[in-house]
Amino acid sequence: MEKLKNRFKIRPIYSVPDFPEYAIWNRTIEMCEIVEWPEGKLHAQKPYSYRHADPLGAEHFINLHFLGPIRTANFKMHPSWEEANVVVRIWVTWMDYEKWIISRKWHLLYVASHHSNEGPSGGNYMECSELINTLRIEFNRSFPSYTLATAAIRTRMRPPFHLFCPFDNSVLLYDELQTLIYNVPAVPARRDPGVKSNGKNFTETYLPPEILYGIFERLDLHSLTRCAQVNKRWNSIASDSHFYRDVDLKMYWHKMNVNTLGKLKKRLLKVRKLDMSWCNELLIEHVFNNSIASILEKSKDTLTHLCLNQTHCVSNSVWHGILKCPNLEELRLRRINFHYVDDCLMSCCLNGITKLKILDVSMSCIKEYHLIEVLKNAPNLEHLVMDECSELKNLEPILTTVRDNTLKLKSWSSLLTFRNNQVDNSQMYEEFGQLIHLEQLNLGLCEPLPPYGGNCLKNIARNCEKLKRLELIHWRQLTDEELLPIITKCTLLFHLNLTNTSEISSLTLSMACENLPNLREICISNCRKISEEMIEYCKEKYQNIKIVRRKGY
Amino acid sequence: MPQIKLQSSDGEVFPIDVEIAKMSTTLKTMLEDLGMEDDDDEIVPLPNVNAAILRKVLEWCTAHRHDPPIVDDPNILDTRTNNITCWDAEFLKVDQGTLFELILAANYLDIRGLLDVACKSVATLISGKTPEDIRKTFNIKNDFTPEEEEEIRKENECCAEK
Repeated sequence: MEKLKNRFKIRPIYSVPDFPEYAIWNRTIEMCEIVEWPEGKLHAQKPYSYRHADPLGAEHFINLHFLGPIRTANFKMHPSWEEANVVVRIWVTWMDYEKWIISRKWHLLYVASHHSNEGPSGGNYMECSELINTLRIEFNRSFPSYTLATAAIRTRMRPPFHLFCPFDNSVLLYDELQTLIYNVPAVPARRDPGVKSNGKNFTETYLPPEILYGIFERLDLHSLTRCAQVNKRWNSIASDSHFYRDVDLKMYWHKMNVNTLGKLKKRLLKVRKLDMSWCNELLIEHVFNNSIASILEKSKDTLTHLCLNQTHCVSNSVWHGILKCPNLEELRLRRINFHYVDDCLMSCCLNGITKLKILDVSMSCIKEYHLIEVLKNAPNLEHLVMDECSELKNLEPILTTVRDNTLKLKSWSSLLTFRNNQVDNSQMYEEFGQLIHLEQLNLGLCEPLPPYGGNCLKNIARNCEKLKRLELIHWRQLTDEELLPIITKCTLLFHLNLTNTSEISSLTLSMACENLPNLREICISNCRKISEEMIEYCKEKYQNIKIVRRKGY
Repeated sequence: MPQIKLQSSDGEVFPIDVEIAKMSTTLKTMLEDLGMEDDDDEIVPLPNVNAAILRKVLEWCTAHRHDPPIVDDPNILDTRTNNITCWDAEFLKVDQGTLFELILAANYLDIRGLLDVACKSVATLISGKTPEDIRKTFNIKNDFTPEEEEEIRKENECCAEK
């Protein structure tokens, strides 16, 4: 327990106000607006295989650990989350912290319905009779917030129960339970289409292998493994690595134990796209890493897309394996620990993942020199996403490397990164104007000191003609005047996010609506100097522009 | 509109537009290679397709004659998954024997669109079923020994249901 206390902060639960004031509700709303919602962005991940894709599109999960045992009947999902289908699944388990049991069984407690308009009753609740102490919530929007997760779920606890906060120090308070979740019928199984046997003595041996290939190609992984169990002929065809070229295993994370992963490895021979996010949950770190390394080794010549989001950490061998895939175009390592990657390893094995187009290392602790080594060898990089990278402090080396080496950069996203007090990056912001192909720029929550913010925007406006999406959340010192060049010159601008830019006034809003012919969305929550009248006026006059201002700050 | 005549395995003759016949890559190649004239009264025999199936195939081809050609691209194969149009779904509401024969005919005549949609239809039949259900549906004999079956089951556990 001592070990755990060092790892997580433990806080007592205090009084219980009514919803929606419980927890830090305002911040919750704010978070859902300012953090990255990759939908519609150029660098959003496209399904690796439509056949295996999660029908609910879970993108992100958060585990909540309770100190005391909880009954599942004590949970209530917040209606707004349910209706929006942001929470798509809830899993529960009992984890023995004292023994740090690795292999544990997860129970599925809740599955959102497939149709977002069905509302709460469309959800599929299940009862778990055992006591649990760990809750895993899967969301279908990417965001980093722990607060959001706890806002989604309400549970009833009385002292002496406490809650672990693994990610930040939010204080969590919980409402009294209102409705027990009992006996909601499960969603009925899918009905077969009306095909009947005609009574002929027909056997599948009619179907030649090439046709079975054609049929199996259109099956999801689950059905494919079922087909492999039908008979010997089907087994030999369905086990072919041909069907395992584009694999998305994320939604099977709860099945990835030592045995299954070992068996699966035999079929992952010529993989082109591989998504193994979350799959380390039931595995010891080095087992998972070794498996990934061996898959990478076998598929190094064919692999084009790799996604290992939230798999805790990459080892030397995995990192080594990744860098040896010459055809890699997309690499996603969100919330990954890089601490175990040696520094010296890098330069010796880098002949370059030169085809890399998308690199997403958000919320990871990738180090500066690791990132720079990759950037130096990726001249074709188009999208660079490094939101909330705690280890990236100095903007200068990264921006200059990008400027000198990657000539086609379209997206730069560094929300909450480069804001460390030890290094003053302000002056470097002027250099963003040199990335002339930029189409998306997100510099939220990392404002440079004046006058560099203004200079930065001036340079961008002068050079980046293709800019379509600009996010400057929480640039609190930004003035109308500084933003003016963007509004007058970046005519392709489609989305402008000015949430929390408190100095921006009504003038900017009206000018943006007036001057930007392609503008479709402008976010101005918490811009206090913008008057309600102006918003009403603009909404009336420019009906094709969505003006987002959330209340409740 | 120029026409040609197709003869099914059981002797029935189908006069059809050349434009429709050319949706079958097999027939298209044949017509081009053999330089068959449009006004030729020659009959093309199709020994692998009977009249009932050929009628279905031609019905599909007639309905889809304005479809854009299918491009050979793995990504496009993916995006088309599960998009069976209403017309096709209605068209494929046939017994399983007919469905398989349609697949074989589409394969033989090399009609990509029909093959694609029919395979999808079979895939829909398979998905969500247990191995035993699949065997029943397709009338397949289980040729594993119990030990083998257990072994195979273990091997395929990774993507088993939740």
